[in-house]
This record gives sequence, C-alpha cells and structure tokens, in this order.
Amino acid sequence: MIPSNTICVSEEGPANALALNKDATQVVIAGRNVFKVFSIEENDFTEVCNLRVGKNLNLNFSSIDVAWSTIEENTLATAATNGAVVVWNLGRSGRSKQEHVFSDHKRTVNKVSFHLTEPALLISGSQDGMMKCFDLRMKEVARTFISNTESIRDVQFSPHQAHTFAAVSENGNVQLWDVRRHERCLQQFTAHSGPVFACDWHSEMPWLATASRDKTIKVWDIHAKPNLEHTIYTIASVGHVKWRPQKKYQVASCALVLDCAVHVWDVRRPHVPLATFAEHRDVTTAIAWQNDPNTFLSTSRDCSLYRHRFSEAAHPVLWANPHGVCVSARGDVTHAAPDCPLPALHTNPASDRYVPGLGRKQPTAGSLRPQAQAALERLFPGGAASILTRYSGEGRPPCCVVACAKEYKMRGLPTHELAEHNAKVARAYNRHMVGHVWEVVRCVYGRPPPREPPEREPPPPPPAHTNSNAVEEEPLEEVEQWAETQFHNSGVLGMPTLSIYIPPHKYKIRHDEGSGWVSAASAHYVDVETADWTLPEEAFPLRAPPPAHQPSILDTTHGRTAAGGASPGGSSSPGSGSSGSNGSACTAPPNLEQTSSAYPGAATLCRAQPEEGESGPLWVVHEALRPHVEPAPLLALALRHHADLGDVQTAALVMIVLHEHRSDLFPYIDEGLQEHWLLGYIEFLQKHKLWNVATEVVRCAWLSSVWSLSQQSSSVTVCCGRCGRRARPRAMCDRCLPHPDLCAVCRQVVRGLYAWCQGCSHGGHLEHMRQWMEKHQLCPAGCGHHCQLG
Amino acid sequence: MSYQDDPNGYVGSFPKDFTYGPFEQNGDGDSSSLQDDHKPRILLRGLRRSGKSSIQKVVFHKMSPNETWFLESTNQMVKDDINNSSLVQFQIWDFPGQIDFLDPTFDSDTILGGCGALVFVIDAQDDYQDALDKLQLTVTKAYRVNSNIKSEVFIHKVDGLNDDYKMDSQGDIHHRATDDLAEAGLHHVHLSFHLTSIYDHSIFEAFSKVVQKLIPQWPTLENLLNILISNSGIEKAFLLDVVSRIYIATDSSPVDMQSYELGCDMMDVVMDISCIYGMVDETETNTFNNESSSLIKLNNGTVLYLREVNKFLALVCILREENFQKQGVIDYNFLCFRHAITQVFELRNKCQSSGTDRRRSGTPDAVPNGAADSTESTSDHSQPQLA
Repeated sequence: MIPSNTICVSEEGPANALALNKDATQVVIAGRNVFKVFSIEENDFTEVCNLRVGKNLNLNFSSIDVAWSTIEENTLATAATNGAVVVWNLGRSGRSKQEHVFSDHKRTVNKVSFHLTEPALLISGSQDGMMKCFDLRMKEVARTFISNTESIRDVQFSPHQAHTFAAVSENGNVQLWDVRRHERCLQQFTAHSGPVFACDWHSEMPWLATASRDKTIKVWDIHAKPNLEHTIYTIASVGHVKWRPQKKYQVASCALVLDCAVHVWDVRRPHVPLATFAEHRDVTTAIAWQNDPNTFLSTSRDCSLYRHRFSEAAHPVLWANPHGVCVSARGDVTHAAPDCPLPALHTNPASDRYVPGLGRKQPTAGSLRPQAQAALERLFPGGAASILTRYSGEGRPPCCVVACAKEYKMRGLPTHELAEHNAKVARAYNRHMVGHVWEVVRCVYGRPPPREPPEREPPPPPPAHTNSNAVEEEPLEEVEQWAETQFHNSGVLGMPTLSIYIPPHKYKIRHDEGSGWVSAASAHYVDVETADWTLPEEAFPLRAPPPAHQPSILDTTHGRTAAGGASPGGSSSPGSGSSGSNGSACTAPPNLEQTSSAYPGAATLCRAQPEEGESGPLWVVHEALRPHVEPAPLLALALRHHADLGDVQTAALVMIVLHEHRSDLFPYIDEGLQEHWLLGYIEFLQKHKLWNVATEVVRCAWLSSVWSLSQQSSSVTVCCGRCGRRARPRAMCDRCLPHPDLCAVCRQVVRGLYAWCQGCSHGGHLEHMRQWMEKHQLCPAGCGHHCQLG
Repeated sequence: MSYQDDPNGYVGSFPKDFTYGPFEQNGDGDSSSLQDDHKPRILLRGLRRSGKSSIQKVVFHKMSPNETWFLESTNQMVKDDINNSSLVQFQIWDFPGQIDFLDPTFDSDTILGGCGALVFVIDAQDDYQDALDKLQLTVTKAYRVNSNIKSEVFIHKVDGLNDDYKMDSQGDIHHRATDDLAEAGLHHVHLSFHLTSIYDHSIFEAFSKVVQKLIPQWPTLENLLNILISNSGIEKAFLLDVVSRIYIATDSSPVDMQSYELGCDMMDVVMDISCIYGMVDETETNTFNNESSSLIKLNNGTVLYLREVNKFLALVCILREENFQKQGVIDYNFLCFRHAITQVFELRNKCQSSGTDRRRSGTPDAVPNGAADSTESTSDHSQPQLA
C-alpha cells in the first residue's frame, strides 16, 4: 500500500543518484542500468525520456552521480565508473542526447556538480584524489586540482562565495578551494576520524554539513577558521546530507548501510531525529529537496523513487519517553518532564504499509495529523522546553555518613581517644549502632599502656577459663548462621525500628535462675517512640552476660533489670538496630541448652553487643574478667557485618583507628577484604568530593596497594609562561624559544636567579619579585593571578 | 652491518609452509642485491614501544592482538618478504625504534633508495611530541634520499581513546606534523594519516591503503572490479591477499567497515577449513588453489561469495540474494575477470623481464583498458540474462 501522497515508480535497476531541474518539475535518476528523466505530476511520475538508449551502451552509461544544471534547462552531467564525465543535452534532436564525453579522469568519478551561477562550469571529484573543472563551452578541462588526499567523495560549490567550493575526501579531510586557483587549497581541516562521504552547504549561514563513516554528521562554521558547531550521532555510516530549505537548523540524511530510512534532524537536538521517512526497503542512495521544505525525493537500492511529504513523516520523538529520572550521589532525585504535554499519539491506519525490509532495520512509525505536527514543530525547534524538578529525600542516611566522614578522626591520638571521639560523632548523627562499635573499640583497646592489654598477652588461662575459651572457637560456624538470619531480618542500619532485640542468652540465664524468660523479656520491652536514646553505656552491662559460671552474673542481671526499668531506652537503643532477630533467637534451641555454646552465637547475633557485654562487666563490675574472651574475632565479625550492610565506613575506619592492634584482626579478615573496604571507602569519599578525608585515609592505610595510591595519577605538566602551550619537560617552549624570559617587573632579561609563581608561571628577578609581593597581591605581569612566592 | 635477519618470527594457525616463504637473506646487506631487488619496500619506523612489531605480526603473521603483549622489544631489523604473490610484491622492514637514521653506520641510501613507502607509527596514547620530532627528521631524511617515497603516518593504539580525543589528537598531529615539514622546507611532501588499532580492522584497512599505493596496477584493478560488480549485480567486491587479509583492491563504492570485516572473516573460515580438510596428500600443504570457492548465505538476504583468483589472491563478493539467482553468469563474469587480471600481470612480467622500469611506466594503463574491454564485451552478453 502506498500512501496517497507518496508516489513511487519501479525502475529497471537501482539508481545511484537523482537530480532535480531548476524549478523542480522534473527529476533525473541515474544508476548502473538506468538513466531516465521523469516529470513530477501531482500524484505520479511520468517518464519524459529514457537516456539509456542506443546500440553502444558502454560504461559511460553506468553512472555514479548525476547533476542538472541550475541555469540551463536542458543540460545534464553524469559521472561514470570508468572515469568519464558525460554531458547530456535534452534539447538535442534524435535519440541520443549525449553531448560530450570528457575522459580525463582515469578512475571512477564520484561526484559532478555545476557551478551555481556560471552555466558553463562543471566540477568533478574523482577516486584518484583529483578534481577537474570543465568548461562546457571549450569542451575541455579548465583546471585540475590535486588534493593530495585519497578519493574525493563530494564536491559542492558554495552558495555564498561564487568561486569557492568544498571537497571532502576519504581520509576525513575537508578542503576549501578557489576555483580560479589550482595550486593549493584555501583551507584544509580534518573533519572526521573516518572517510567523509558527503557535504552540503547551508543556504543562508556559512555552514557546511559533512557526513562520515564514523556515524556522525558535523556542522562546521566556515566563516573564518573552521569551527565545529553541531554534531549529530546516528546509528550507521552516513551517505548523504541535504539541508532542508528555509529551515535554518534542519538537515536530512540517509545512511550508507543498515538503515533504510531518511531522517531529518534538528542540529540542536542531535540524538533523536525530528522526522523519519521509512518507506524504502533498502538503503537510500540519494535525496533531493523539491525547492520547498515539505517535499523531497529519494531513490533507493530497492529500485524505487519516492516523493515524501513532510506531513507523512514519522516522529521518533513521540515514541521516546519525554520523562527522565536520575538519582545523584547524595540521594537527590531529579525528574525532567516536558513543559506541556506532547500531542497525543494516534494510531495511523497507514502504518501497516511497511513491508518487512529483508532483515534490515526499519523503524515502525505513527504519523501525525497536520495540526499535531504543527504543534510538534512549534514545540521542538524552540529547544528543550522542560521542567527540571529536584526532590530531596529527608533524613537520608548517606548524609550522616558524609557528615561523620568529615568529623571522624583517624590519627594523632591513642586508639581509645579516637574511638571515643568517633563514638560521639556517630551518636550525634543518630548512628547508634556505629556508636556502639566505637564504644566497644574504646573499651577493648582503650587500656592505658601501663596495663598491658590483657588480650594481647597470651594468658596462662586459669582453669575456670579454659572451658569458655575452648567453646569459643567451636561455634563459629553457627555464628555465620546467626549473622545471616539477622541480616535478613534487620532493618536499615542505625534506624530505630519497632521491634526489640533480646539476646538469647538472656533467656537462658533467666532459665538458669529459675525465673520465667517472658518476664525478663517484658522488662526490656520499651516503647521506642518514647525512648530517649541516651545512657547507652548502661546498656552494656545489661545485655552482657559473662560466662554463666561467673559469680557476678547475679549482679549483672540485677543491674540489668534495674536499668531496664529505669531507662528503657538504654537497652533498646542498641537492640533496635538489630531488629527482628529475637524471633530467631527464641527458636534456637541449641543456645538454650548450654551456656557456653550459646554465648558466642549470641555474641555475633547482636553484632557489637557481645563485645560491649564482655567489656561492660569489666568496666562496671570486674576488670579481671577481660581476658576470658578474645575480642578480635568478634570485632572482626562486627566489622564484616557492617560492611555487609553497606557501611564500609565503619569497617575501614575502625581498622585504621586500631593502629597497633590492627594485626589482631588480620587472621579473621583477609587482606583482599581489607583492601576492598579501604578502596570502597576512598571511592565513597571521592564521590562526595571529600578529597582531604580520602587523602587522609590513603595516608593512614597500612596496605601497600592502598597507600601507593597517593603516588599514582599525580602528574606535573609544564606550560610555557608566555603562550600557555604545554611544553616539554626541561625544555623551552618551542614556539617561544627565540624569546628569553623577561622579568615581569623590570622587563629585562633575567640572568641568574629566576623566581616564578607556579600558579600563573610569571616571574622575574628574585629580588624584584620579592619587593613586588611585599606591596601587591596580584601578579606583576597583570594576569590577575594571586601569586604566591615561596 | 648491525642488523640481521630474524628467522624465527612468525606465529599463527597456518601450517608452517603457508606463509610468505622464508625471509630473504640479503647477506650483510650488500647494496647490489638490494638494488636488483625490484620489490617495493615498506619501512616501519617509530619510537620504541609504539607498536611496529605488533602491527607487523598482526597483519602479516596472523598473530592474535592479545598475544602482542608478550612481544619483546625489537633490537634488530626484521625483513619480511611478501613476495610470493604474482601480483603484490613488497617487503616489510621492521626497524627497532632506537635505530637512528642519522647514525653514520646506517646505510640510508641503500635502505631508503628502493623504498616505496615509509610508515611512521605514532603511539596516540603517549605524549607524541618526541614522536613528531622524530617523524620530521625521518621524513626529511627519507625524502632527501628518495624523493618518490610515500610517507604514511599511523596514529596507532587509538582503541583506548574516546572519539573526541581521537579527533583532537588526529587534528593536532596532522597540524603539527605538516607545520614541522613546512618549517623544514618540504611543503610539497604529503603525509597521509590513518587512525589505527590492532584490535579492530582499522590496521588492515590502513595497510591496504599503503600497499595499494605501491601497486602500479591498482587503478586498473579497481576499474576491473567496477566492471565486474556492475555487470553481476554485486554490491561490494574485495580482492584480498590470502594470508594477510589486506585488500589489494576494491571497487570504487565506499568501503564499509562491516563489509570488510565480513570478507576477512569469510577468508579465515575458508582458509581454516581448507587447511584442515582439504589436504589431498601429505606432500601438499597448501590446499588453497584455483578450485577453491565458498558460498555463505546470511539470514538477512545477503550472500557472501568467495572465489580464488590465484594462490595468493581471492575475490570476496557481497551481494543480495535475489541477484544471486543466476550463479552461472556470475561465475562466467568472474572467469573473465580472472583472465583480465592475468593479462595485466603478464604484461607486468614482460615489462620486468625486458628490463624496463616497471614501477614508473605508463604502459599498464593501456593494456588494462584492453583487458577491460574484453571483460566488458563478455559481460555484455551476460546482461540480458541478468536483467
């Protein structure tokens, strides 16, 4: 089915090129096996004449390109694969209209084009890199231009300067020539990184559009120095470009391979075509606008010639979702939406006209009614009219992390003081879980030096303790289980939740004591809403049962009940972080059987708490208890857990702050993981532009792979102070070489000491610079830089 | 002489015999043998570690690009003779980066005298200021010795660069290199620039272009291909060198990278299959011969058709399935094409044997036209059948 307004003629073979006459009433198509002139009727093409006639159909008839004189009604020119340029005169009587054959080129001629005002001038561009300007009156070559590049793919006369023409070549260069001077080109620049296949001058602006195999269309301002104005990215090598008449910013293109459609682009909107014409079933070989912005003709390898009307275009913008959402590193959400809604897309009954294109890409399209299309054109050429909304979430955890990152200290003080400081910081930002970890670090490693940290000394274990030490190793597998269940159940780290954690050992203790665990639990049930989140230290003794056979248990439990009653928040604040784990704790029978085995399981279950618990009694009740439990594996587990929850900050920083105790953790955390944490934290800091903190972390790092980061990616480049150009190291700028460096103050050549500002690279005699800097702040050279000397 | 031939320099999946043959032994570089040798030479120059040997190995020895990581720095000049083909005869000379042309021990007249093209490799991922200085020195020197030499610049290792930077550095290198040459008073020396990488086919294409300039018959071949494809309904045809897969000629329509890659891949498939299964008896290792042909139909309606031209050249055609209805006609056209090519090179051999300067003679233009006419007339019969 062919839409009523688009007309199509089947030909004998595919056409390579087409050309319109001056008033766009007739079209000529030329290819290897076809050369015909049609007149364009309202709804039809009528064949006016077939030029491929005669007995001797030689290679001169197999055309690559065709051009129709812009002045003479009857003059045509074709370029042939064998290098012949043939001029045709439609006014000739007789069958053969061939007027003259120029066989000056030895290789294929890729392009012919007529001068826009001189009817007798014709220019050709050939595969051998030469262009020839033919004079039709003398029937000979007027001038030969040798481009010194590879094949010339397109030549076009400029509509602005009558004697200038542009030539594009296969090595990516664009050359501008004056037709009167064949010695050398006016200008030459590299436009693309692949072969350039076509170019087209804008009718009003001094713009040249170039199309290349690198899948881009570039628009160059050729007014003075060639300047890249716009770049359009397409999906395939671009074969042809043509500016849309009377529309300043619109250009039509067709691909060389892969994409059969003709696209019309707005150069300011380079990613989505403004309109797409997908009628062809094979790649389009040529396009020409019919002197008006709403109709154009195209030929394709599928042997058809179409006239497209803009009213039938498909508009890919309409298929695109005009809303965009993006989340920033800081948790802000940005949403962009169009100012006014697009005209509604209506299904077009004609859209089933597309025949599957033999496996080639073919967009399916909906078309617009004229008024909708007008609305669209009003909307889009105006540029991106859209709203940008920015949402900020409230209480975003990353912010506290960032704030903490700024305030944490990681060196300069003993471990326990750093830990204390960091704990305060964490609590100030409501990160109680993290605060607890720091407290634990403070308690465990915070012994003053005279009291040698007991966990470091290999203690001859007292008989009572051997038991607990032995079992401590054993249930480590269980530990993982617990950590896992908890991981599934827990909410966001540090965020208060409504369930309360009760460590399983509590029940057991209660059980042992003969009191019901329910009551014990109820003593700890608190209303989280009313909790005041203070007194966290009191929580440690509460939930930290020492090994069951210690006599201090009673004290502890008493204390806990009392504390639980007095300030419920105290116990709930650490528990809240590990929400939902009480259920699993209750249903874990092995823990209820034996105190000693249950204890480590519970310890990991509540992450930091066991350590707190174990340090709590030491601190509050009895210090001699400390050596019973080795804190390193537990702390390591806590850190791993935090890292698993996405809080790599805590993991990395605790490791840093531990300083000399760090090696305790090494058996439990392998080096790869340590590196992973550190690098993760550094990356996080850099993402939030906390460069100083990141550098600090790098400096504090103990892994060579991390601290060597500070030695990478720092490079110093030297610029010439005069021209600002990058100079080679230890060498003068090669452009400014003849000029010695002058003193910026006295303008004399500097002999001897030369002092200069490293910011703006201006300088002079050391003495002069010093005097100047005493009185002034700005650079003596007048560059406006706040110089610093020394 | 400080350089010698390196006899152990190829890697690849081909059987040992199927390369370009043994490296030529020129003794200690006695100038007479160099002068007698009419083969155009391609010199590879560049700074150290800029990728010269990698290029040579990948293009001419089928080394996988990843293996080039393990190449040692070259410290001797390696000559590689691509001479077995009747059609294309040239040598690749891979220079160590540190050899200095200005060194008096370096016999530049001998080496540069018969040299057809100078390929200068610039590492685009490195600071190229030094390379540009070296380029200027090299080109100036080479031009002084041999004014016919063609200078090609490969801006190499561009796979690691993004598109914008690629463009910028190409423009910058182009600008500065031509400025430098102009300063040295060589306005008329023309440099060609190619962006290359061994990880895609850009290096093959760039080398194709370099080699094509050294083949005096190249325009003729192109015209023959034009005639062949227009009379057979072929979309694109490549004349490939069997071992290196560079294209010696193609028709004048724009080269699309995908088509070329398809052609190369097809060549690989055919070569591998014929090496594995095509062995007739133990003595014959080269199974790729006049009878070889292959046909691959792709599911998008495209047909790849490969025909052997001679032992070292193959024609790969890409055409639409509907144009492949009459394979006999295409085969007939191909035979005409092969005949024409043979004629072209017979002439060349005749010229060579009669001692005329083969490289600068104008005669190849005349006879190819005759050959072209013969193809044309034969294909004229075939046209009615096709249409």
